[in-house]
Amino acid sequence: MSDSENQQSSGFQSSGSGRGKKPFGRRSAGGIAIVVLLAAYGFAQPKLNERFGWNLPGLKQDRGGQVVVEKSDHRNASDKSSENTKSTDLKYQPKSSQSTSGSSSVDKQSGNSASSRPGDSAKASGPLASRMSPKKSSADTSKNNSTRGSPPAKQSAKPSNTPSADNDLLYGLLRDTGNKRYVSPSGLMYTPGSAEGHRLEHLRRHIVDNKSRPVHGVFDGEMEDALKVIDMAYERAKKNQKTTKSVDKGMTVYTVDMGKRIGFVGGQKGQRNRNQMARRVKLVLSGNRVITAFPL
Amino acid sequence: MSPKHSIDFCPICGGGLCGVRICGIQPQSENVAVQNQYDTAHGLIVCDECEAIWLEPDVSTDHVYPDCENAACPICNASLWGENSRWANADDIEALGWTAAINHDLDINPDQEIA
Repeated sequence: MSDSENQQSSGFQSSGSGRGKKPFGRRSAGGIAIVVLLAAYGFAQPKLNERFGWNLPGLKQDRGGQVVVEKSDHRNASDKSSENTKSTDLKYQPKSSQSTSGSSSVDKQSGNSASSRPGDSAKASGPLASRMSPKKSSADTSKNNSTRGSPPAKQSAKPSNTPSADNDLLYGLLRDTGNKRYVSPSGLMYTPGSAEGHRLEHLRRHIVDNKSRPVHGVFDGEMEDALKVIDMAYERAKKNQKTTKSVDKGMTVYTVDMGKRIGFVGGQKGQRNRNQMARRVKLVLSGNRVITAFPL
Repeated sequence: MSPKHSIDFCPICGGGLCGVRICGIQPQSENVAVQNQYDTAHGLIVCDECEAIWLEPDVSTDHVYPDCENAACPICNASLWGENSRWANADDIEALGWTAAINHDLDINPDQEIA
């Protein structure tokens, strides 16, 4: 979508110019009303986005003095779904050197030889933050389909069409720092560990429902979507936005209200309750290292 | 990999199952007699989400966390997820003497009914 399509001029001029034939009083009152409305919208828009998780476009003044709708980075759901990539083992492999060795999918990622410990340097502070665009997730799409009831069907896998700059990123989001460690734009580290061998593999458990468990939080969408939600949750947690936090022996547990549907409650209890939607993320961290994250 | 038998939901993370894990067992490939298998065995309660560990089948007691990248048993220091450790089945739990602590509402794929 081009910029010109995205940028929709409101047609209102802040100067209030209009047809000269109308009485000055009416023009003036109309202009004032428009300015007041625009000001009110400009004031309320970020708060509404924050409160309800909406993506209302902002307003800005262009060079000509016209108030225009801000260009939105949010892509529509169809654009997003076309970018959704298949969650296969191949995704773990770097584009330059794909390896077939290794027992798990993460093992197949041939990390570089540099020994990068979690928390090192700027990597821990989110060097990819600028790349993390708040794309409209499938959670938004599914929200329209069902806020409660049957969980949304997982999207079909398609090859990645992401820009080349993102091709080096695992799931289009995580940067390989070596030794099977990956850092997210917000600074979360995904490292080896857990019964599954890697935290990412553990997270994968929360991409699909597990009806053998009593309760099981399931993220909407695929791994990419879950990782983005987790990153956003961490950003919110760092700002203490709708977050409860507890620290226990070096482990930090955040419960972050995302303000919108991000998954559903699965498992046996979830099924009995018609898979009630989940809008909170439980995030368990050791420092900046992810231990687990799941919707609730 | 979910625990087969659990005693409660995790009071720390809220979403995990506090499952019974038996550690210090001989790898099954060595075909050790069942009796001998439990000679050095010990039980742990492990949350399968946040990995909090209790040494007794009671989540109101003190707990510890393993190293998040190289989780080890706090008793024998063997790998928590290695071949000398597994989610306990009914026989394991009976051998540990923890049968009474099990909450059967949380069972996953119960291998057999605990007497």
